[in-house]
Amino acid sequence: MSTQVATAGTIQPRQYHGVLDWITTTDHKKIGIMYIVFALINAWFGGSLAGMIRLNLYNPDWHLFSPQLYNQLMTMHATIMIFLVLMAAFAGFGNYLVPLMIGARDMAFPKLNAFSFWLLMPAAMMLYGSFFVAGGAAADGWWSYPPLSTAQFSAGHGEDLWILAVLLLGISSIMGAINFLVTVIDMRAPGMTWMKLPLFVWSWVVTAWMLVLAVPVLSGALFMLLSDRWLNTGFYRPALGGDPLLYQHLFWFFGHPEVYIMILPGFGMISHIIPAMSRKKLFGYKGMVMAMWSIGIIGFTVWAHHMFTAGISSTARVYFSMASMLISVPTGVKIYSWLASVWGGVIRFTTAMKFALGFIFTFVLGGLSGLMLAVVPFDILVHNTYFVVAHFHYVLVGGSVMTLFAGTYYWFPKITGRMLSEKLGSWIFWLFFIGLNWVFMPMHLLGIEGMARRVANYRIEFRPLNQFISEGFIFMLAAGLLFTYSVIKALREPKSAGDDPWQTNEIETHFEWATSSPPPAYNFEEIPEIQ
Amino acid sequence: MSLGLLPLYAQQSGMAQAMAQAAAKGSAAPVRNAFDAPGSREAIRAAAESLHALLWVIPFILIAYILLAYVMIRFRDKGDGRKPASFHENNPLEFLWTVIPLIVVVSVALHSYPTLSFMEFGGNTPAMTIDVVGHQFFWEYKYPKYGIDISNDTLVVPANQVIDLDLTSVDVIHGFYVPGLGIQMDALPGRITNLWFKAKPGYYKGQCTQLCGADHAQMLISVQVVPEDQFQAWLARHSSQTAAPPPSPAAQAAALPARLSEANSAGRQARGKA
Repeated sequence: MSTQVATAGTIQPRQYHGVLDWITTTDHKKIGIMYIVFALINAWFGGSLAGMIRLNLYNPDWHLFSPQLYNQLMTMHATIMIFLVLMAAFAGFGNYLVPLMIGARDMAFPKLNAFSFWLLMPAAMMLYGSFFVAGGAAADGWWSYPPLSTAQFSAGHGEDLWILAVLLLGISSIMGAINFLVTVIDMRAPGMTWMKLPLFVWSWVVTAWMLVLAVPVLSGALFMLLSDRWLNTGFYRPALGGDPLLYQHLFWFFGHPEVYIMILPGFGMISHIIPAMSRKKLFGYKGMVMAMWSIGIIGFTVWAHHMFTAGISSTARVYFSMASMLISVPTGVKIYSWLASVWGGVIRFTTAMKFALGFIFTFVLGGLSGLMLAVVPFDILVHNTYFVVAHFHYVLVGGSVMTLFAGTYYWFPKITGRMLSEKLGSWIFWLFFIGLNWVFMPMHLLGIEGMARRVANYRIEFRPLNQFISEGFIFMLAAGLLFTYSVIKALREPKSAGDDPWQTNEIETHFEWATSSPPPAYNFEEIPEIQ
Repeated sequence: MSLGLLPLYAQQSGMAQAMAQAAAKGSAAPVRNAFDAPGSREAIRAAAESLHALLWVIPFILIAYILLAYVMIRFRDKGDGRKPASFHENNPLEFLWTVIPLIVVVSVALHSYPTLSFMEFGGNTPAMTIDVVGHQFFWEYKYPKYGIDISNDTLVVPANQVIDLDLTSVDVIHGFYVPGLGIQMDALPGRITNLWFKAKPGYYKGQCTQLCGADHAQMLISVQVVPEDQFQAWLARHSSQTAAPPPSPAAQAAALPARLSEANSAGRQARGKA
């Protein structure tokens, strides 16, 4: 008896190899890699849906897909890109980098971390599987507005699967966010005070707070929707005394912070890449931190600008217009601080830097159209048209995706020990940059011409612009193919990147570049210390 | 507004003249573009004017782009061993680029409020109120004043009068959007939303802007704004008929797929003639 206890006390966790190792791991680096690979795979699915959408809109006379199928493709394109690509990719980089950057050996709750990741699997299976249930996938847009999403108008189980999948993704996000917060609050290396935190870590602190505060509201709204569908409640059903506007308020109370959740970690990445490639310390660290908090806080107070045409009161329009405009101020601070960081530097035009500077160009355009949309009289003219589609694609593709490309090129050597080809990288950058402007710039015009969004078909006068846009998609597709090829090619090469391939630590100490590439299990032989 | 935005009004009045001239020339072509619509109501011009204030934002964008281009050329690594600068803070500069944009965006927002107020409350004395009811996937127009109830048809209104629309829906949320008239408002079940417009004669096209189901794209809107005498004639024609009940949803749905292709071929013919 006593010997058994003694043996049990010394049992080491069993070591697995290969696939089993990945499935059972609680190592934040492996979980981070799995998040990123998951996001890349889903980017192909979500991108294919975008391709099908563009193909359908190439010619309204083709009637390629039935309108119902088109609505499913459009809904799933948004859901996949938001929840399974952008959020997963940023969560992946956060998982990989945050413990490394603060000098910790792992996340605070490694098993919870693994659970957060693996919850994505049933959610993804439900989303993709919903195409094959009777009635097909959810077809009422990623907002899933009732009454269209109630049982009366969306009877199929695709809508239920969509709601359950998003609820699961929400649980995953909330657990992940709590994990990030505890990790950063509790596990910083000795000497790393708050105002010495790397900006990517700061960006995740703000993002995690936003997730913790916003996602439960979405979960509540979706539970009420599910209850309306199955338990005959009437939260959103006017016939039973409910109100569809309630859902819109709840949804956008999550939905707008969600936009910042999808861009703040990207801001954090750019704040690392620009100084490293300009050989100069980041300009205005304190201002950058304050700007992110301002964006995070104001971001919670602007949601009804998505509802300017929903019949909200004039007072509400006045307030939400003003609040929405205020967000441009901290965003401007960040743009100018990045430019000042480059000023006087010695720029190396690596692919990471190209994507970072390209991001500034496209993101500013997204910000400008956002400012225009905050002007209510203008918004009324283009609300729910392609102008809005152009705006948020400039923010999410010209913003988030560009930062993800930049971050991938910057940290790929750390994560894999190998360099991505700079020659291919330059091609990928230009293909993607031209492609995204080609596709999304003309959409502003379509909106001003009055083409509504979310339509499977359109009046003939919109055809030339739509065909032009669809042709630009080929550039983005080529960039995606070349990027995937470049990653696979790099992974077959020897690990020769070295600890600090960008010589970042000559400028300023960053823990992730002080350890080997890839870092050993548990990251550091000794916990580093900041002087 | 204050804050030095006054010079913009001069530009606006120039623009207003240009628009009036364009309107005087007249055009039979359907109006579709929200920003060059001849004869559209004042609110469109007002909306465009409220955007004029955004010109004050353009310098900040231009500064960012010029700086971006400048630093990329001036500070690229030429391999001459130049040492990077070491500054990384400048409180006065950071203060300025926070406070100046703050003042500008606040004044842009303030500048848009009179327009907004006009768009919401400018139509206080309507000549008539029309009830607009959204259905999957057609619009029903009721003229309570004249006892007329039409569905899946063109909305006909008299020119140069304030027309008040009360919108609601019997099923899901729809969006009533006619860019040439500068109007957009959702029609929600269980609620009544409201908008007004005053238009010059013309034919205005629009469509539903709130995803409402499979045939959302087919849910078109057409508005015919006619002179008063033609409107009276139209009224007489419709009042003499007993107000037909709206077609059953099934009949509506059967008629749908053809509708957009009809509109498209009509558009083709119109362009062919032109």
